[in-house]
Amino acid sequence: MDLSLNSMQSIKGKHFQPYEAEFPSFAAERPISSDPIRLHGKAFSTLLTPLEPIKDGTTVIGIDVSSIRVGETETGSICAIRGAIVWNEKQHYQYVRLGPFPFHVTEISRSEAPGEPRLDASSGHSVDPSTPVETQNHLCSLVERWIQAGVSFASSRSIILWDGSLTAGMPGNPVSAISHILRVARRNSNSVLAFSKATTIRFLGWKITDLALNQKPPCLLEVENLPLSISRTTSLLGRIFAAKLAEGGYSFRLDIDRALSREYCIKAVERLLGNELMFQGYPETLRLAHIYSTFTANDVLGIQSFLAAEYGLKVVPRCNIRKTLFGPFGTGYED
Amino acid sequence: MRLLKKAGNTIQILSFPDEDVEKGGYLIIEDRKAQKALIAQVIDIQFANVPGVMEEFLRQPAAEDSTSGEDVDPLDIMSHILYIQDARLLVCKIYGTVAEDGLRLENSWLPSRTHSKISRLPTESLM
Repeated sequence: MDLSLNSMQSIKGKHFQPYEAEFPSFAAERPISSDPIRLHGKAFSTLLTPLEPIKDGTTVIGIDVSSIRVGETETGSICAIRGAIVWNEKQHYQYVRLGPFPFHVTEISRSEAPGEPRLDASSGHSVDPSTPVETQNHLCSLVERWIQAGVSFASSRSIILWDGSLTAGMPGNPVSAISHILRVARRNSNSVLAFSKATTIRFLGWKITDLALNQKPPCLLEVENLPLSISRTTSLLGRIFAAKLAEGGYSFRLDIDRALSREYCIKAVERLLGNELMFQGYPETLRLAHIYSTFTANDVLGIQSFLAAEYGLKVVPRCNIRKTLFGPFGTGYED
Repeated sequence: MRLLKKAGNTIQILSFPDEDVEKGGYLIIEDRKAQKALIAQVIDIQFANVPGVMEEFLRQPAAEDSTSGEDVDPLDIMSHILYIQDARLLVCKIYGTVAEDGLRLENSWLPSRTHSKISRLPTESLM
């Protein structure tokens, strides 16, 4: 909150070019591959763990954060961030939305953003996030970690779902911060599970999620001991599985806090299955958290209106150079 | 109020919730640069086509739904979002043009969208 307000102090009375609040139409859902990879042999069957739902009244909590760029000023760009926490307690879903929080991203604010500095691999010196988009993602991660830390501290004996993975060591995902959040969660007997909709991790050229696609759900495919293609500069704080949790659903990369035993991890997924609705194999709390945090075109208009009213910004129509030069052929993204 | 469209003798005006306009009321659209004004009557009030409204409504829990929640919005940005959601489109018929030489039954000119000032015109002032 302070970071947001401090960053916005520098924009009073400046010119503001709002981005168009027209969003691309929603992409068609990708059909589930009709030709999934078929795995045979005893070796793979040992990696598969069939799951039995455990219905014990465990509270399931999902966390997601979204960000969007809303316009540009003479010295930088303005983005907004909003987070959502959704929890399912005895089949009753409740949510809290935090924000939106606007941030003015400038050269100065980029160097002042808190968090662990990113180190240059060759020189070992710290470097600032290089682009406004990276800074936006960095701020988004900061807000996400703040919410995750709060939930880990305030809840107990719950299953906490994160969007993404438990991979740390990238900008915005420092190992120390994520390890601390996981430690706090464990201290309160919570289990942290992170669902990734897309993964780049492959085994022998196949995506790990495709390996689980043809298996009988609900099941977990343990890929931990397979020779996987993973960046060596990152730290894996989670035990990695490919999870197919519902009939006809998608399979996801699932990271579970590495400090928990393998048996405890599997039991946590079984408790998730017994106490949560799974929509196409994806937890409903996490789906709702995404929906509640996402910005609509209406939100963007409202934020632009707030910025103009609160900070006295002079709204200047944004010049689309591609459209000016190429007319109807000026498609594609602006630089 | 902002002038949005003009087609023939019909104009569309964007109006916000705090602007008190009723169907049947008269409006004057003054273009000071052109030194002319259009007089129009509101014949219909519609919802403005605000982008993203459908998505906004879809995610709002229905009263009978098992989902409930709250917004922690310390900057009160949500009030701006709701204000825009309630924007209205006033469909108006043009009745004439007021210029230096008085009222004329003319609607062929186009007032400026950016410089025009739109305000309510009391019916008695037309008498």
